[in-house]
Amino acid sequence: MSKRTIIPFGPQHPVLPEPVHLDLVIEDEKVVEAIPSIGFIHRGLEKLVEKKEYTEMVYVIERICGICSFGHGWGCVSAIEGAMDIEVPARADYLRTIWHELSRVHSHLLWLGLLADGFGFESLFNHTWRVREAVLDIFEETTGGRVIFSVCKVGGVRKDIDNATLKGISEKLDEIRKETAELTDVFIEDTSVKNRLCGVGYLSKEDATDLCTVGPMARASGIVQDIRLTGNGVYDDLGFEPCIETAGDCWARCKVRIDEIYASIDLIQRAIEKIPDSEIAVPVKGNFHGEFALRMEQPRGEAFYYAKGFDEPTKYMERMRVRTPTNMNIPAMVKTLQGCDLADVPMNILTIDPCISCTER
Amino acid sequence: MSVFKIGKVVMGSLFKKPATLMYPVVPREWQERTRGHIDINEPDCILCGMCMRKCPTNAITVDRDAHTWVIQRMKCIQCGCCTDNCPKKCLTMAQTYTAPSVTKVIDTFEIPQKEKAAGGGAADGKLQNNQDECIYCGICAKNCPQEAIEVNRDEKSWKLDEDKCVKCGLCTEKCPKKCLEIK
Amino acid sequence: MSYVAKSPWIIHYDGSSCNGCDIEVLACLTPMYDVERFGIINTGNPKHADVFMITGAVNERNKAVIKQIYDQMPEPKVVVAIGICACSGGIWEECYNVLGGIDKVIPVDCYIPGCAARPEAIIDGVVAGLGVLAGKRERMEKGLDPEGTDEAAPEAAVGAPAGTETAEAEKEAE
Repeated sequence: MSKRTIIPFGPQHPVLPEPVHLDLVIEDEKVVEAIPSIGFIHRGLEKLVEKKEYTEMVYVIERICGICSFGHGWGCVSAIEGAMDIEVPARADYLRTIWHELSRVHSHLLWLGLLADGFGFESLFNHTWRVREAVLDIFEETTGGRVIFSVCKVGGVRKDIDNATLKGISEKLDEIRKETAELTDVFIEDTSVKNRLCGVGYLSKEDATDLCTVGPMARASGIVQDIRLTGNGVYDDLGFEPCIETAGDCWARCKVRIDEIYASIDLIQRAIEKIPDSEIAVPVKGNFHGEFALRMEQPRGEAFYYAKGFDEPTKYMERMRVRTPTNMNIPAMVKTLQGCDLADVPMNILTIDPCISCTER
Repeated sequence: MSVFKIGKVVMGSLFKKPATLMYPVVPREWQERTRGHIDINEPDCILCGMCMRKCPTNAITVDRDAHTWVIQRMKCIQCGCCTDNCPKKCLTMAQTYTAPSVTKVIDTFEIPQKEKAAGGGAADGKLQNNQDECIYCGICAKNCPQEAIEVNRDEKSWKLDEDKCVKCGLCTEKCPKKCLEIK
Repeated sequence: MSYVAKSPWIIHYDGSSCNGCDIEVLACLTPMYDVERFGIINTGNPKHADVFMITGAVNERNKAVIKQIYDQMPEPKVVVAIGICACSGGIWEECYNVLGGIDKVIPVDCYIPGCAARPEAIIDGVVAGLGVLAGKRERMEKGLDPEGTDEAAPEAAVGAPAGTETAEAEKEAE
């Protein structure tokens, strides 16, 4: 009868920058059970609707997470626009889609770098982040900030990108695609990487459906679910196919995210060709009233935004609720941790692309 | 079976130009839209306090009696709300960031007193309403941040509390009949 | 800027932050900004670190964690608060679970503003923090309390090695 020990993992540990605490119950190098405990980032920001007007709430919601910041800003603003029945001009929709897809490219490149750092391949981490800096330069050129953009507002966007700059962005994306191709070859084909990723953290299609996984985690187990097929944005005009794999292990999730980088670069280039000329914002008058909910595809999966006003129109909303994708993927993470080796624990945690600040708001 | 696939990238970085920016030795060139810190053009400021109301973090304090405009640099999120809402456009977003320091930096700017000249400029005029055009809709009163205007539709009266009026110009913008003027 | 003679190791912790400043801290370690030129390594063990780089505000739950990491670090040590959330609570100050900036829990030696703080600002802030670190090391070698401000040395001064030429080099950096 072997003894069980409990190893506390986190919130401060060298592998992940995310403060999540797990109690790993270990029996001879195999994890029997993982008990998560979160709450280190909870700020209680949904209660700030009582103090910030509805036009300023976007600055709060944008700062839920620094990596998927644009997605949160867009979702919040779309929920408010839906409740007040505001129609956004076409150019603003295209610009928002372009920024959102660039945000997806940067988020997946960031994740690939952290994955490489997680299994010890530091030079690959450095090269991936070097390629990502080119995307951050595009953000700085167009919005003024590298991480938090503050460019969405109720009724449209705050800054325009002129067509000459858009052509320049299209050319830079070709460069980025070439450099990324050299690195993603390593992730997909190198033997040492495959030894760490193949067969690790297997999640079958039934388990993934029962545990309500979203995003690349679900798409790697064979579930065809991508909110971009039905949600807001101009994806219908651009023609879009989700990337699906069936193997269900860490290698498949890595492949799904790599395919999504290339799909996003294609989407951005097509959007740049088709973008119409129009205004970028409509003026918004009056107070907030109504109720609206919408779903969006963030880099990590499906996110859900709900905005509700009081019965009388006022400057303040009554409720703003955000449900983020990592919230749904944590049960899947706990399931994949059962029965894995101790050395595979960082892989299993990183494979859901954890964003604990999104989970806890 | 492929081994050392990263060899190609490694060979490339041996011969290409290094990607490092050598930051402290080589100063950084900013992009045009980079958001660094907020600058104020003191002579134009009319101390209306719109920036203070719109700031999401309450980083700006406007003191009308002491004629100062104070910003806590360690609370400013560089969102640009204040620059968008300033009626006199005296705030701009500069590109350099506030330098890190051992204390919490609070910048105080003295706003010069405007001279009271007869028939003077917009900053020290009086808000006047052309009562012939006025339809007493009350939009000016609803939008006044200081609640200085009182409008009564039944009695057809329009009253202004001049002590409270900061001459920010919001009412003149919103008036549908354009009967309000600061002169 | 002068290149410091002793390479400082950093430990980075994310306390209630949105991750924006954390990824900028990690971006400092990547080829574009590359603080490893100055000998700075991101270690995971507080007992090996000189500089504690912390992002994000303090909430009720991570108060104890931050205090514990700070206590485990050996003297002399420097705390650098990155981003406005760490300096003053930022946009979260009115939230019910947030106590404020980091200086509510541990003493902070350098404040770096910005949302998210740029890597150039982080490098500048770490250099300023290293100046403070050199001052503290000097005080320790004279036998004084590194966190205190008194000038007088106690009766039995600890035998100090004469290694204070780094202090002048680092003071130039400010």
